[in-house]
Amino acid sequence: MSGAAAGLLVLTGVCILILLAVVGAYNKLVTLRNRFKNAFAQIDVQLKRRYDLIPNLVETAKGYMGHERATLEAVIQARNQAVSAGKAAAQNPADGGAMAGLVGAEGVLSGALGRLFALSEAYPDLKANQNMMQLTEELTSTENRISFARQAYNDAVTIYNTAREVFPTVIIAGMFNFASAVLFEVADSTQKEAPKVSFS
Amino acid sequence: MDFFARQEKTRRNTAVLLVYFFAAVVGTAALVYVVFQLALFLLLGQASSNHPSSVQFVWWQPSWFLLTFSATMMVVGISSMAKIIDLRRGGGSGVAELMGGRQIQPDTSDFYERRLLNIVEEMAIAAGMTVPPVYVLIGEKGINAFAAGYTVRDAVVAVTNGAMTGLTRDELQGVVAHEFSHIFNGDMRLNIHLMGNLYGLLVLTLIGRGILRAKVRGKGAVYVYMIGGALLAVGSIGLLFGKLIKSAISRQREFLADASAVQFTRNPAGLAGALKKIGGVAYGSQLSTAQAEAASHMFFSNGLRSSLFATHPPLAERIRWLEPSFNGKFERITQEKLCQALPVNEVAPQDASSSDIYTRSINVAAAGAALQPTPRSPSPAGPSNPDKLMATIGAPLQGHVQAASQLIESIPAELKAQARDPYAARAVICLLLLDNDESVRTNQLKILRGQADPAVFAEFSKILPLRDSIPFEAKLPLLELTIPALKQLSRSQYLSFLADLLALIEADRRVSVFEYALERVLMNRIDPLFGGNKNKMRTAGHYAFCGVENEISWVLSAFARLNSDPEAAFKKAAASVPDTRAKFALQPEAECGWKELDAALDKLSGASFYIKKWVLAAALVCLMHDREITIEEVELFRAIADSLDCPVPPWLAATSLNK
Repeated sequence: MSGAAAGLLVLTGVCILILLAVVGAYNKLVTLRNRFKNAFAQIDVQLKRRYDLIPNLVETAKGYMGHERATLEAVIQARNQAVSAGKAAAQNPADGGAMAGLVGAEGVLSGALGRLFALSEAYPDLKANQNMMQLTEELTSTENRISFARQAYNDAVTIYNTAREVFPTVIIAGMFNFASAVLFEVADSTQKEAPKVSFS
Repeated sequence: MDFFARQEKTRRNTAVLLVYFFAAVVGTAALVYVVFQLALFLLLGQASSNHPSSVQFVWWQPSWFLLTFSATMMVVGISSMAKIIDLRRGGGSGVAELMGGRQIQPDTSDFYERRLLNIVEEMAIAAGMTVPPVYVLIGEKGINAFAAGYTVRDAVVAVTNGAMTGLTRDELQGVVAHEFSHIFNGDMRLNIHLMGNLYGLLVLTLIGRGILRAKVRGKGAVYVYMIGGALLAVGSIGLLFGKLIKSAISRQREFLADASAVQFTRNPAGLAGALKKIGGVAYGSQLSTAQAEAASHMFFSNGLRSSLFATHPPLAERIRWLEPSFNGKFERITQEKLCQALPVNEVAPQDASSSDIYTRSINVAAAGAALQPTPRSPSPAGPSNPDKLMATIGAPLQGHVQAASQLIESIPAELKAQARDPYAARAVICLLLLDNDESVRTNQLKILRGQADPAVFAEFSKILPLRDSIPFEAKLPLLELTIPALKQLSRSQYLSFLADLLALIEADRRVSVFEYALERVLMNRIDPLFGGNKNKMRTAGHYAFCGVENEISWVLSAFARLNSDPEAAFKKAAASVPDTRAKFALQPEAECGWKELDAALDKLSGASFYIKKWVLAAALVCLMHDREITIEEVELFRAIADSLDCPVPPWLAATSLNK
């Protein structure tokens, strides 16, 4: 074989190797992205559970604190907002905007719920209600599960973001539009809102 | 042909596939040379029209031939290999995600998803394999399904949205049984190789298409486009070769899978019903994803419109095999009629808004989605004949499905709900590990309270009272149910959970058989996901008994020690192994530790299926020697079979509760 032909072959070989490296990096990013999308699905299951419990909670509370309409309505509104934000995020967990929207809506919901619970402190009958106790128990349990799933999701997101930012994978990430993923941080409602107790 | 022989056979078939593939590549490479020469001819023709001197065109030029031939071979060969490696590494989940699948969460409350998961759980426990992750192809309206993965261990089942919502429970069960049969027949390994090899042939089309899309300027542009077009043309010939290969190999496998599915469910009407629906619905079994071509051989039914080189036998033929009275006419089924097709006893759950809405909706969905009583068939062979039992490995019967569904029923509903939730599944495992002995139990509780995650301990305390309501034969199935949930843990969560587990196991300073079995199953199934030794299963390094004599001796000794007469049992078991040159020795009692057994099993997991078969058969002989099967022996057998990646149906019932 002539020198030129041999040279051409070597060139082809080198090109193939580079191509393979690119494909390998691309596949790795896809795998990691799928992994955090899947981790989000677990959060979604738990969030749905929470959203299903809230209407019942509000109904029970209405029986005892009917005139606290503002607070109750705030909870329902926040819940509906969160439901639609949740749906948007579930469509595409890799979309930073949708995820940020969900995190925001969840924060609002947690705040509203926190105010509701703080208010219910003043209604001992409500607190002693069987249904209410079960619901509160279920909600707490769901909160635990959400934070657990959140932890797993954030782990997966961190791994993805790190892999994405490393050189030379960062070039491929740029080429194929692998956006940075958003962590799911929810403010702890119990810490934020100091209960407003009025003695009037 | 039993499970082991079938797995061996597909390993050989993979070699046959390679021969076909090589022939196809040679053909394609030759065609590339012809195209190249054609391009040159046209080029020279154009050039010589400017210079009147006629140059005799030489068609056969060895150096150019060698060049183009080797270039094509290299491109196709390397991309095939790369694709196969990529597919193997991704495992079943990789393929499912490639097709656009989304994994169903184990603790879902959606009626259809829950129903599908229940079906898969029942069948997995009936077959004795771990519950595979289930994916749903959301955007697909057609009715189709596939199973992917390289080994039984990393198998995955995927179902289209159309199938999940449009089929009745029986029909869905038939489809899932068909896919499981593919897993047992070892088709998945073949399919992965097929997919990878064909990708190499497809790559030429991709390159051609890429060249055509590229915007090239200048005088040479026409020729570049010509080359691109030519590559596309050649590539499509390669594609044709590929389709030929696929249809040659996969058609009779589909019939085989149908046959095995009927054996599994004893309900040909279910499978036939699904096939009829495919024939009657507008979308049929078509898939809209771009990847459908690459994986068309893996699906339940033909995913593409053309049936020129069909990967599946014609629908009518398949239905007629199941239901000889079929008249060949498909009744048109509209989309609305499909959704109303659910029978009365499969009512969707009411929107219960109550305190235990979660458990209630799960229970209603579960009740509606639970197994409908099918006509009883004679129960599978009792524990008297080792050969009959060996024959059911990888070939579960309908009786096993019944037994599995009963086992699942016997577990308290709340425990099942907890087991499917990653957060609480950890507590369920801790519950299973609680010892019977009072003093050890208090010690374990102390350890849990002190060392474990407080959340785990809280959940654990809630389910503690349920401990005594778990029937002893349901303990291992309950473990099986937790595995999909545990796979959802993140790495750090898993590691801390593992630490708690090990502390619990070591609480009484000894490892019981159940604890060993539990640890072994977890290590096999979950550890590889979090960085454990993944490749232990991959290479079959041992084909002769001589290489693994020691390891087999360890395994048989472990069983012999559980027997009332160790020496006699061991002798009988060793005699049953067909290789007379191999020498097995009963290991001394003092050295019979779990670590040695671990090492032995790790080595044996790389042995050929032939060896694995005889190891299990010998173990069974040893087990049954004293005519009394203890629960410990059952658990140990389960642990061994799991490590060797052999699915063992739950037929082995303990005849005594002695510990």
